[in-house]
Amino acid sequence: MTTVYTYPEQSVTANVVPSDLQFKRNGLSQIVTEDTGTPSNTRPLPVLNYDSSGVEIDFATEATLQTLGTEATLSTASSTLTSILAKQTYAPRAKSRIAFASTNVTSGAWVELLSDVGATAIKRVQVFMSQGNALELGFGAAAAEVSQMFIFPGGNEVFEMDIPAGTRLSVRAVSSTASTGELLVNLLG
Amino acid sequence: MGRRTILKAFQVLDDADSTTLPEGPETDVSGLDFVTYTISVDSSVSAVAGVYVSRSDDKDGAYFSLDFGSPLSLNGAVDTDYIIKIENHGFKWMKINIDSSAGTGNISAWVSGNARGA
Repeated sequence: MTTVYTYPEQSVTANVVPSDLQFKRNGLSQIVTEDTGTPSNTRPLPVLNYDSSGVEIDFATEATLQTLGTEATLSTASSTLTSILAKQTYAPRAKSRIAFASTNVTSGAWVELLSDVGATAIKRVQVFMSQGNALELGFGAAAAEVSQMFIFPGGNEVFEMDIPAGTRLSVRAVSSTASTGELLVNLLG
Repeated sequence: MGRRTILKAFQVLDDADSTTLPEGPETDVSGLDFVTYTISVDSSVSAVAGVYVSRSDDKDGAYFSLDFGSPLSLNGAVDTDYIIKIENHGFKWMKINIDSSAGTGNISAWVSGNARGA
C-alpha cells in the first residue's frame, strides 16, 4: 500500500451500491437468498453459536436444552397452564349442613362439619350462613383442629380455597353461640 | 504561456535520522502543472512533512505552507511509501521539509513534475 496526499484536497463523490452478501457453499460462491415463493431455494447465511467460553453450542442435544433452561422453562410453563386450566371447571365433591337450632355451635368445642372432604382436593367453596354470629372454620382431626378462616355472619360467599383430600372440617363460634339459622357448605374440586 | 517541460525526478531528501528535521532544497517548478514528491521511509519513522511554495521569482522569497486538509503524516508503521501530488496553482518555487518527527529512521524523497501536453 502507498499513501497518497493530493493538493488541492480532492472532493470525491461516490455512489455506493451495497453488494449482495456471499459465502462459500461447498467451495463455491453463494449469494445469501431468501425465496418466499420456493422456500427450498432459500440459502441462509450459516451461523454458529458459541458460549462464553468459545465452545460451539449444539442446540440439538437435550443436555444443551436443559443447560439453557429451555426445557425446564417449558415444563414450568406447562404445569402452570395445566394448573390454570384445572381451575376453570370444578365438580361438586361434598356438601354439609348444620341447623344451629338442633346443633348449637359454641366458642368452646369444635363441631364437625364434614368428617372427610373426599378423595379429591377441594378448590372452591360455597358458604351460606343465615345467623348473625361469626364462626371459624378449622381443618384437622378431632381435638387437633386448626383454625383456618372466619365464616362471616350472614355470609353468602364463593371463594377459591385449596383443601387437601381427606381433610376433616369443623366449625366453632368466634364468641357468641350460634343457635338459630343454618350453615350450608358446598365443596367443589 | 508557461514553458512546457518535465522535471526529471531527483532526490531532495536523504536523511539517515529523521529527528534532524531535514529541509529539502528549493525546486524551480515554474511552468509545471503537476509536481509529485515520492517518499520512502523506514518502518521506524514517525514524522510529519510539509510542502512549502512561493510565487516569487526570487528563490529566497516568501514561502507558505500548502494545506492538504490533513497533516502529511509519514508513519512507517502504516506505510513505507508515500506520494504527494500537487497541482501547481502558479507556484514558482517549492520545497519539502520534515516539520516534526517523533521517531527515528531514514526518510528519502524524490521530486518530479510535468506539464500538460509535455
